Amino acid sequence: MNYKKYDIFCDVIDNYGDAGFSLRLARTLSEKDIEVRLFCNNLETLYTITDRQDLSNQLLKISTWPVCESYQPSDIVIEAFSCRLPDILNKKLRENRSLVIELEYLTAEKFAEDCHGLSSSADGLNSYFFFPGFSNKTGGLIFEQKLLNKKRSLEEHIHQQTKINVSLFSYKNHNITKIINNLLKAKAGVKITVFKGLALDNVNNILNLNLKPGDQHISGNLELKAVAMCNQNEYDEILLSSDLNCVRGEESVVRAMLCGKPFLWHIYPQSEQAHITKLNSLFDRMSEYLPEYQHDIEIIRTFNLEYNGVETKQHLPPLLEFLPKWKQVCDKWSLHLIKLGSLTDNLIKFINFITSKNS
Amino acid sequence: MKLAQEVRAGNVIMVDGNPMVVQKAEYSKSGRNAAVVKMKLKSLLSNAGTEKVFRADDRLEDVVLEHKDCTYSYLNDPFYVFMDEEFNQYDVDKDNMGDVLNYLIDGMEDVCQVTFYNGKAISVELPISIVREVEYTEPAVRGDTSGKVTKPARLAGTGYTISVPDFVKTGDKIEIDTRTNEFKKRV
Repeated sequence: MNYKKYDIFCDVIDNYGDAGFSLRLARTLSEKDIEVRLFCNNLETLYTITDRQDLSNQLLKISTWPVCESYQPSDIVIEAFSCRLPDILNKKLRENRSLVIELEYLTAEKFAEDCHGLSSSADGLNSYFFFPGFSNKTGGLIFEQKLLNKKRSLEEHIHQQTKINVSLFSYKNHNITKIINNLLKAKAGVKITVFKGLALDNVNNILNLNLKPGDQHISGNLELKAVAMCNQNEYDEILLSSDLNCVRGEESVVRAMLCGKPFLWHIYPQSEQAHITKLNSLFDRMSEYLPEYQHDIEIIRTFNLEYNGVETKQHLPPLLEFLPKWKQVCDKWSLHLIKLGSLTDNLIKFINFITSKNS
Repeated sequence: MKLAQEVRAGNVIMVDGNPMVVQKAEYSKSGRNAAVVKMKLKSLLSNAGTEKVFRADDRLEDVVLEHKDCTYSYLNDPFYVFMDEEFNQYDVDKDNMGDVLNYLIDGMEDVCQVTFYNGKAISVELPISIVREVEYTEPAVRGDTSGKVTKPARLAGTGYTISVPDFVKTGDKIEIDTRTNEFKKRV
């Protein structure tokens, strides 16, 4: 049986990733004619990144988490990032016998493949774990045809640009100084688009500036442009028109990878350096699927490790000289990711498989 | 109740109303300091195996099982009947006997541990060390006494075959480690 009504629960723990991923999933599901109710406990954050089309989408309803009395669960309930629902909502899910999908964090580690698609049964729910990932033993990543179309059309435009464009969206990160210094060695001008929030605070702090969204700062061949947070479509365009994307968390690194552009991933810091293991796993995976680029991938790995504060003591080439090679690797990597199919399609297939098996 | 991250191999937890013994528990950090635990489980009632994933902070019902020392009495197909010191008899389903059947012989005096769930005998464990007679094994070729050269030996009563050193002869009584099915020594 193909169910046409899904609920998505999004618990915004911090920043924009939770809301961003959940919104993208909800939107892409609605594009498959599925009625989606997106329950988000921080609508202010969510509305920062929604666009007009999302708000007028008849198949997408956005609201805050329901109070139990009024909540009638759909047959399919997705808990984004395996967020935990209150017992009272779980009771409703049990009564309704909803199929619960624990949609997990993104990781390239092997355990994601091992756990992908397995059932859980915690809290007496009929639940299954679904892992995004980088191989066909996982659920893949969310992407839309329109992103691929945009990518194709913008690529020609980029060749005509004379400046090196960099987008900067990061947590607090002192290592951005290394990148800026490296970029300043370029003869060509460098334009860095810095997003409001932690990234802009960080740059202001390091360079002793006081830029606000809309401000511009020019120093020699470096141009800094501060911008406000934008919606997901606008962000995609910025990623696609940049030569290097400094991204953070999961949602933006996925977009950067799909765009096939060089990226520096400021990964969400975790205890016991677990994030460095995750970062390394990504480049291990890249090497596994693109063995012919292993040497270049090691350079990209080192740039990323240094960006995340790991002292590798490796000799690195000037960033801008390496950029064309970097682009080539990222292009191939994006093709690999696209071949896996969109997470949205893979998720629907998985849900249909489970529901038909259980019916 | 136990957190999933506290569950270890050998623990028994309730899953979907089934007591399941945890054969393996693997903890992995997923994201933002959250973690998942993948478990390999075996039902104590049906012996069926399965794999499940839990969030590390999921609360799972742990089951405390009752154990009794018993000796094997007789086969009442499909049940194997065991008896405790007070002559109470307990039926254990053939399907739950597992590897014990490899060593189960009439008249054996080994004290086995029978496990109970809700008053029902659900499994049997042999002592770690047992003695059995070799029904047949090939004669030693060159009289090797080092124990490094091994050969198969068929056990009396069950016909189960284990590896023994070359010096073991038909009719010998040998000590076996039931956890590993390995020969320990000639008795």
